[in-house]
Amino acid sequence: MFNPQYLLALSFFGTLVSAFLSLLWSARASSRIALSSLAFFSFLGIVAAGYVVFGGQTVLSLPSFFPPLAFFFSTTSGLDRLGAIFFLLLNLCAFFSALFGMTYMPRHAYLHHARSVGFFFAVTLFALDGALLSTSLIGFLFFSELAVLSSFALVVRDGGAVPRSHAYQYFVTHQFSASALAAGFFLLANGAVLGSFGSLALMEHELSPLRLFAACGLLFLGFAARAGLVPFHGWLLSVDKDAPTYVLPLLSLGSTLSAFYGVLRSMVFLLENPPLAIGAAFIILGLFTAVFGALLLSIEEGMKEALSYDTVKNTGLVFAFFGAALIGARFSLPTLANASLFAAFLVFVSHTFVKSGLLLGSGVIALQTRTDSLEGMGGLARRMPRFSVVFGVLALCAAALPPSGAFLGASGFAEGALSDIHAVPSQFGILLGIAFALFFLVNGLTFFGMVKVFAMAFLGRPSSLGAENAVEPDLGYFAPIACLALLAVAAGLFAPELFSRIGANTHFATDAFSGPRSTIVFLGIVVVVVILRMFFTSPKKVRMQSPWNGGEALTPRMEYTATAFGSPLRFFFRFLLTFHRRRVMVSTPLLSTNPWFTVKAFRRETDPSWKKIIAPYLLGAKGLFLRMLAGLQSGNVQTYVAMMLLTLSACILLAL
Amino acid sequence: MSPLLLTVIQLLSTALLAPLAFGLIRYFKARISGRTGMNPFLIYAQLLLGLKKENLLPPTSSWAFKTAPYVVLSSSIFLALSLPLVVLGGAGANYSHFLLFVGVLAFSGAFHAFGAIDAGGVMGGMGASRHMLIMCLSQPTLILVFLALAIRADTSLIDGMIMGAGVFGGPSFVLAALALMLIGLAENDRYPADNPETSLELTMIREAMVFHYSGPYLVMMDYAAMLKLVTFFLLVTNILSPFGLMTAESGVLGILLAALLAVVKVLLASLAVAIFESVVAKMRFYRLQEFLSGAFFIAFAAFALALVMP
Amino acid sequence: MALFGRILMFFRGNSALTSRRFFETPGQETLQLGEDIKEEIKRLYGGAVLRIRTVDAGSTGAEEIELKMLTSAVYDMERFGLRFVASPRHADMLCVTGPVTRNMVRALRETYDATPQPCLVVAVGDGACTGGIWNGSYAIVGAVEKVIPVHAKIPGDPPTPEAILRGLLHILREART
Repeated sequence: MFNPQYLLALSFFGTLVSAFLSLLWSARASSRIALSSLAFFSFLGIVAAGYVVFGGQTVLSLPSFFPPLAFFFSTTSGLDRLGAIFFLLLNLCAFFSALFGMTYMPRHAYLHHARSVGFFFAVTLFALDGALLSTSLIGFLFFSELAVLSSFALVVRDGGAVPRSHAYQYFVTHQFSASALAAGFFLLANGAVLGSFGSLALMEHELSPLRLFAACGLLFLGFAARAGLVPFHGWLLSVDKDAPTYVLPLLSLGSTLSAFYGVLRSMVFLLENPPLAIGAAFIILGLFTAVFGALLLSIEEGMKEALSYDTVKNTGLVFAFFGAALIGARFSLPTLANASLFAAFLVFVSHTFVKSGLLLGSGVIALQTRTDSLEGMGGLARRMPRFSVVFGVLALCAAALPPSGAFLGASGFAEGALSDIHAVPSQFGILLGIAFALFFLVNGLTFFGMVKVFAMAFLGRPSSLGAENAVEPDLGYFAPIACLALLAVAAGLFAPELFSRIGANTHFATDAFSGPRSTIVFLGIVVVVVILRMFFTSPKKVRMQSPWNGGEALTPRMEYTATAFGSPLRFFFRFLLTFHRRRVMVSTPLLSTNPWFTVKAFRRETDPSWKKIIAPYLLGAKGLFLRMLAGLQSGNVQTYVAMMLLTLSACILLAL
Repeated sequence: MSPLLLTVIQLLSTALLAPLAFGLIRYFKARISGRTGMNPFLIYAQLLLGLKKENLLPPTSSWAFKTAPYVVLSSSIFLALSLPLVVLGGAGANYSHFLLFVGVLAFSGAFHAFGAIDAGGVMGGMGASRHMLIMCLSQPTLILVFLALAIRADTSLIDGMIMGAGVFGGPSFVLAALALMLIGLAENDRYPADNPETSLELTMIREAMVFHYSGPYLVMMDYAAMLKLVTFFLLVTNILSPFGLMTAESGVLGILLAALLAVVKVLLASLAVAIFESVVAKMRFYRLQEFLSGAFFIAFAAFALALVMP
Repeated sequence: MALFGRILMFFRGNSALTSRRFFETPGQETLQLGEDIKEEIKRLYGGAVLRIRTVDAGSTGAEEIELKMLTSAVYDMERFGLRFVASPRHADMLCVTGPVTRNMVRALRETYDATPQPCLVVAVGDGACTGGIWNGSYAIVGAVEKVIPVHAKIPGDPPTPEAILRGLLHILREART
């Protein structure tokens, strides 16, 4: 039997090898070779992680091969179940992306710098894997930083102004996160930076509550920025727009998944007595992000933008569940903690598959319709029926409808939390109650948004030439997306069994309805209805008849467009959206001589209103800072001597 | 008596009662307006007649237009099988988890909207957009209502909530029942959310969605709406007065009593809805937010009270 | 039920409906007509419901008012099993009013296409039957039969609701033979 340690090492270093493989040949050949090798090695990683997660093997460790690696990976432990779950998810995402890329890149190698994209993609995967494998703090931070750098290179690849600004936004947010994480770990480890997560657990009891609170707060900020909670969500929106399609899933999901892993590793599974305020902060900020993301998902008209907001919303939900788990741990309520973690796991597992599938699918659509806006699509279900079914399955899974994992997570959380909710003190009980209500509101808004995305993209009449002439995508594009859809549905149907296989405590979930059984009952009813219909009515009486067109040729503009579809929701939540892109009336005069003849049009602003509000203050602050800097650089020798003296005295004071 | 037989009896009785509920509402509304009104049993003839008509399909439609009636009808049948409408503890009782109930409602609503938009006509998108707004705002309200009942009854199966010991009575129960009634009106496209008798397209919500269906598909969509209506009627009346339901222990007399009471419940609920519809005006669509927010906050209050009170 | 109706009307105040003249029930002839229609519909379809879609192909609106009055409390066609529906795809019969103006030709044809067969087409009013006083005008095509096949005509400008009911009965007897 294969030793899974070898598989793991092979997979990990093989990823690095495929990075260098992509630099060697011409663009088209290199993309084929590098991506196929990356697919192979990530498949090995999937198998190895599968051994750990389901096979009962608890630890795989790399330094047993190569002792100097102990600096990064620490000798005490290797890949345990928690890390293996994330390893599995990341490699699944990368595997299917690489499969997709094997068809995509050779045809579009002229559009992108195939070699550098392949190199940085593999390095990103390598770094993310390394962050999961290393249980030492230094290793975790190092590999996270490496992932940030290679993702930055991926986003900035061709040097245009817009990708550069997006890349800088990504870079700055992640650097902020890295520094907050470093400071938090430093505080938590009480100065012992060369420790590992295990040593952090030992340290916890020695820290004063204030220090613990500060450390947890810094860690919270760091992971929130890395995951994309609300003040720091900008990078998620911008990163989904620029890179070639097959890179996109790993770019957004890799960072979020490593943030979730970090929270679980350093706070949820580590601390026995987490500070209450941190748990409350998780819940409050998480829910705010979730509502924000769900609302904007429903009103955006660009498919990739809507999907980015879907990630923002899921990140918020996962963080809120982590907060509930922290509160459960604090008040010693194991059912609440287990239920929250169950829900959190299901949300991000299902989201990984769904988002990867939807992103790859939106790339396929964008290839044919040449547009990212929902208003330029339409009628694709008739042109690509097989693909539309797969996309529909993914969209319904994203909307937390019955067969999907997010739905099961919601029910499991409701079950588990209800049984414990009386034991929570009153103010947190209120918080949890409001969290419940907002959680289900978020699910409702996502439902609206995903139905809108699927319906406007695939149903109705085609709105553009590309949509009219769309063709069924090839098997190379279709197969990875179909596999991801199957995984998404399976994650929902078989989650309780899988969870019990890995030893988690999920009795509350299995007490509820059984996913597979209700699905079978429902499908049985559909079959019965089909039979009854064929029995009672004659299928021959069918006539094609076009809907009423008002006397003119029915154009797609006569249908409800994507903007119109979302307008009831925009109206309903108009108070929450005051600082979002408002609707302004643009009137341009027709004649220079007479200002009264104007053409008026309603446009939505391209930037949110809050940017316009704070822009003057930011500019003023920037000007002030530059003036101060110029003053310091005045060329006056005394200024420099004074600065040197100040620095010296500060160093002496700190050293003493 | 076996649970399977109980469930079959429930399905048959709801299936037969469904068009009657629709017809009765129309009949009572006509009588209140001073007219004589159509015989409520004519609805059965209308449905059977529709099966014989031609099926018109838009040429630009895809599988969604053809699949939607099946999914919508199957969802309504699933709900009629699993919820405690005429029987308690039938074979479908395990599937009456309140989140599954809301999830199946949402699933059928999504496919209803897909079918509407896929028709490629002018009406479908408008109906679908409005319908989706009502769905997405009534989904959390329904969940909160059943959460409130579930906390009191200590079970998540609706089957258990009906006969639960601590459920009946108390402010939480009253508010939850009220919210359920309001959302039931919105979900089933009755006043004040939607006018099922309108001929003005700009005021349609559900009618705009079935605008492009004809023949057997139209019969399936209409019948699914009737099944959903009678499901909500029986559910609300069972929550308010949980007696007379068939259980596995009841004999022939119990069966007859349950069937008779089901008819009485449908009669009373139809009369109540007819009186309500004759008194209240249909709300402007952009004022529906007040209605739905009100229902949401009533349900949230019910949930909070259930949490707080012992 | 009649008492309840009276009490309701009393509280509605002094409207035309409460004055004694309109409070009489419709005449015996109308009731007999309705019963005959019910029998015909039952024999024709094996069912007892006729769903009607009205199409205004350019009328003055007078026929529309008469058709709308069929739904009022005085004539109440619902008790005879007749209903107006909003979509031609849901309809069993089309009632076309007015001479078909040139702008409505295509609309009328599309509506007829959109009605599932078997369906009946009735031309209501003089304009729809023969073109009426607008015959020969540049703005109209003429009678409805020039555009879509018509199964029956109900003349009158506008026909009274009783005349419409009588016409429907005649159509249904003809369709039977």
